[in-house]
Amino acid sequence: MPAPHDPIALLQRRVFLGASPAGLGSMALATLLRPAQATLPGSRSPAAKRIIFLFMAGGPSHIDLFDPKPLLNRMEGAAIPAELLRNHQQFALIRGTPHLKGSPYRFQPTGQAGTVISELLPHLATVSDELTVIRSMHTTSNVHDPAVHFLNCGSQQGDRPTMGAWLSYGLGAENADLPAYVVLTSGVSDGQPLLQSFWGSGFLSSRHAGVPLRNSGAPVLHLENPPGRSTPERRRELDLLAWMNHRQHAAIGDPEILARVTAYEMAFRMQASVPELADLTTEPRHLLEAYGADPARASLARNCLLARRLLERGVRFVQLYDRGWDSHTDIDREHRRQCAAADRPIAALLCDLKQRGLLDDTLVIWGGEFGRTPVAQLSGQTWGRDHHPHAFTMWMAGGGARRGWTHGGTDDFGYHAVERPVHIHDLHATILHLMGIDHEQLTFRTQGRDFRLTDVAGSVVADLLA
Amino acid sequence: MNISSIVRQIGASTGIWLLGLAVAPATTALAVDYDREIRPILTDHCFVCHGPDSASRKADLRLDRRTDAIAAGAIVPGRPGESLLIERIFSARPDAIMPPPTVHPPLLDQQKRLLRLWVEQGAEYEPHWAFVGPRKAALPAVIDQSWSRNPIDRFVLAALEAHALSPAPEADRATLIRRISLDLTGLPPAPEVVCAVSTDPSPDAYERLVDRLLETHQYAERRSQDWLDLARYADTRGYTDDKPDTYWPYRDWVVAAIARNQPFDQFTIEQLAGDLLPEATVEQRLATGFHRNAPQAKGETYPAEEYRLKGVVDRVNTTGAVWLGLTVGCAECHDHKFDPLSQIDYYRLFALFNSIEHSGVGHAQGGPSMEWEAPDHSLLAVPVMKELAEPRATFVHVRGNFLDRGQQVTPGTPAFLAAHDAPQDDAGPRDRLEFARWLVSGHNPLVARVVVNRLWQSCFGHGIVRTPADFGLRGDAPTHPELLDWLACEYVESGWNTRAIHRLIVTSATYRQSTGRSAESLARDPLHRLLAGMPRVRLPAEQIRDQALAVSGLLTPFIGGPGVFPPQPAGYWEERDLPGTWISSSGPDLYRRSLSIYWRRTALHPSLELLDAPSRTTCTIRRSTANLPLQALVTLNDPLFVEAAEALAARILREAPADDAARVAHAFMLCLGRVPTAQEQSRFLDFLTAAQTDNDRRDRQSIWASVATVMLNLDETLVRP
Repeated sequence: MPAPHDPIALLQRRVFLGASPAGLGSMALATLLRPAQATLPGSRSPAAKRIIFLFMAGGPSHIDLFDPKPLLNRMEGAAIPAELLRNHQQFALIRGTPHLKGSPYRFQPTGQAGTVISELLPHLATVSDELTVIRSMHTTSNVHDPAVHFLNCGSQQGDRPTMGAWLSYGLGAENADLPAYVVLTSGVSDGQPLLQSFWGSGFLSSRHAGVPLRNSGAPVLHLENPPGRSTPERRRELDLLAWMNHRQHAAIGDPEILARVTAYEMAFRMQASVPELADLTTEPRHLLEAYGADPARASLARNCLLARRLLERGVRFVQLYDRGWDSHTDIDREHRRQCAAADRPIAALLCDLKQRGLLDDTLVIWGGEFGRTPVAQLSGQTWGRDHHPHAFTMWMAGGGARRGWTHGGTDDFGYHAVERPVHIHDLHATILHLMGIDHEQLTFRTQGRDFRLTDVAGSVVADLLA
Repeated sequence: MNISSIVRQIGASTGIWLLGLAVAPATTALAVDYDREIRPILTDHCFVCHGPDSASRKADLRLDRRTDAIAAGAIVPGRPGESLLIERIFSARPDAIMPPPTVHPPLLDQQKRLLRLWVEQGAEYEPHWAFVGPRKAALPAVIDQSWSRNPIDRFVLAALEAHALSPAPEADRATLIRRISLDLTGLPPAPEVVCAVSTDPSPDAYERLVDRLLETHQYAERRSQDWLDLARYADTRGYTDDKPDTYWPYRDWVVAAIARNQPFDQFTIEQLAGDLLPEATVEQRLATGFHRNAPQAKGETYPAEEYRLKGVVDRVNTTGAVWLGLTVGCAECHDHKFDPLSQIDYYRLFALFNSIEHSGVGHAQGGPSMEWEAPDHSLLAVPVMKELAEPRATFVHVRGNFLDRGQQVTPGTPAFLAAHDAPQDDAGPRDRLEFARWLVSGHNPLVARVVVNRLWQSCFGHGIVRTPADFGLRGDAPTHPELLDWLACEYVESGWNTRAIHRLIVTSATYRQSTGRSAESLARDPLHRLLAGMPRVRLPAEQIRDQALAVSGLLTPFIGGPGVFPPQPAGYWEERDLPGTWISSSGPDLYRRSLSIYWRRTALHPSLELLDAPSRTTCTIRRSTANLPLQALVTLNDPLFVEAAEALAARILREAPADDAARVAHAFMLCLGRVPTAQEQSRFLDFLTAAQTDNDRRDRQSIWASVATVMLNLDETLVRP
């Protein structure tokens, strides 16, 4: 099915030169050229300077979106071949011997590279030449939170630093008025909670933890002055506070006192800068339409646009949790709903970044904590798919990732990653590499060990690099 | 180049702190010190391939044991020219040089020369300091005979003098009163206490204040907070569904045990094995809640056995960190890379914790509980430990994979510590009770050191060993080794009297120093290891909240019982899809001491979380402390702090009606425990005048709420002086 509106075309009708978004963009770019980065141990010339991680929480079905399996379709209804279950613990929820279930969706080669994409993602198909589709991802757990932790921190336990925290620790923040690592949430509640540890800093300082922006009320907790306190009154309080703190510093000399003065001043500036950044009404109408974003309504579309604004202001790592992909039942309805909400804004985001010259050094990552089983959970109209860690698809775009490339492959059933498998540790090593970091060098010593995002494994997957 | 300059250079280039070097008697200046100079090189560069881990050992060579290194020809004592180790590290051939350039950055020339010198001098090994029992050294001689107040000071002063540094002057009385009140009770001193003690002419006024504070219930509450971090105490089970359970009776047990100053050996035995004590009392069984705080997964998607075993792993690792100060968790999958802890040792510890009752599948699965009558006479099912009648068999999990069973093992303690296992028979402890008794027998080289080190950390911000969870080969060396040993011995001799050791520390001259730092101290001791002055410590999250409530007069005391729910932002759980609803408490519970706050692992109360309180999903030995704008927003704008500022303003206006100068003085006394200087007084009066002029509709209460906000956010308020 052809795309009803081509977001690229929509965007290309406009020229942004001289307009404020481009101005902000180039300002942000200037601040991103950071000479200090060269001093990081193990750093190399980075392709990417910032990351948007589109986390499809719950686990999208690779078989229905990116990895067509003709034999699986033909054998639909047959009992799962026994050899697939060898060395296999158990399904998450399916019990007994389930039956193979093909994909009801049409797949077509798209773009110049012929990247194969399901009919559920027509907009993404229009920008498929930007993508590196990795069909051979695999992970270690088929339970949500250990698998989410694994994708975020390289460990099933939630006590390690997440990728954004590692990057904040290794590369620092670019904007003194905003955190380096921001988390946005959207989607449909499916009973899978978002845990504090999903954006935690583990054993790194809590300054590296992700900051979730809230969808209702003030985006940051306690951003607003108490009722009745005007901004000039608050300013006067902070002046007195700073006066006292400077006196304290003069008497004692503890540098933490000056850091505290800075923190209070930054808090004051955030009271203005955060509402400004979260206010999408200043975005041009055509762009809101291209993303499908309503400034007043929380959505993945709104978050995609917000993510671009965050990047422009120097935020290094933005993670978007889009929930509702855990389709144990009625996957057709649920995945259509999820794709309808995700497809257009994600394609628009890629175009928008490209248009602004940001895609070259912004790495966009898409994926969930695992894929979904090629066997059906339940039967009849409301069939669904269970959690599947042995093979699933993720994609990357921009930021030095190889354009128009489909990497690796699964067996005839999409059950195991068999061709050039990519483990989460490999993905992490590759992402850090693109950010100019040797994954074996970015370490933190605690409890007698040098910990790293990739634990004791992981290799950069050269085929994924541009 | 002489040795000490070589050593200094290596120290500087590898970041090893060579404290005490200058104190060493001149006669040893030419002797290489294995523990301080050689072992760090071997640990960092050699042991990964030639150390304790048999699986990753290359060429069947181990260098961590002298006999093995000699037998292999790597070392010929006294003859570096014949020692393969020396030949290989100096080799110019890429295929022969060690460590291999592809694996490891090359040794520095100084390090190579040091190793050669060490072999030349006989290649003597020494056991790692922490694995040899502590002994009380004679108090070191010091030049300044007047400064020391107790033995602690002799050790601290000796190190300072060796580095040509002097202690800072004693802090003024008002600062000491605020410091000791915050440290011992977690609460600021009341103005009356400040006035009475500051003007008390008797020489032991401070000591008498210390003794009074040590006897308060607030003291037990404050100490419990640190222990509950170690015990990973929370009100929920963890993992995705993170359901509540009745854990709080354990929390109240901890507070009560500390309130009666239960000796630490008993405190240990009851928590690890109270259920196995003969004729165990209800309280002793309640104490075993310690290890029921391990996160527990429930739900169909969690394979029952896999997640039961994760609980056992957590118990082993927590025990290792809290009592042994060792990173035993490294040996879950392989022999420890640096410490002499084999994977078999690990699973012998594992076997001690592997036979807890655990039944059911899915949501019904779980551990044992006991029926307990709460103070309000309701009957509760409280999670406790209970041993299976027939113990489970324990196998080594090959590479940590529980499906891949290696050899079967029996319960026991690590072999390298067994030498200290004097009163036990060779079989080692057979169950948790014998294990707990072994820990606190007084023969274990680690336990007393590890515990007093944490107590020191709670007073000075850092321990004497700055890696409080790692006393192994990779951990930091103690800044004051003899002091650590002296305190550890004193602790055991005192009958594990924690309060007595705490008193000793806080009555020392070291603790009473002022916080200002001399230029010499900043230059020669930038990390403040030598303590030429008192380190400042930002208050923990709970104390920041409690202090705001206390000075504003809102605070209600801790009374135990189920967790309380002070308001949190509306929809905070719902927007993360966390099951359950936060229904705010009402009445006195709104202002209850923070120790009472309901602790949800997957979403802690956001103001506590932002102020660096840990989730307590795993054991926390030392909290990190950040200094962030988001924290400023909490203490400026969180409704609780806004309410506290309003109440503080009202209190100032009520209690100091005379004039603005008196009110400013009262605000300072309440929040900082001191009077304002003339300059401060005048700056605050200017602020009041300007606020009135700016907006003449602002009432007095509102203007004083601004003053109160400033007071609650001062660096001086948020930091323990």
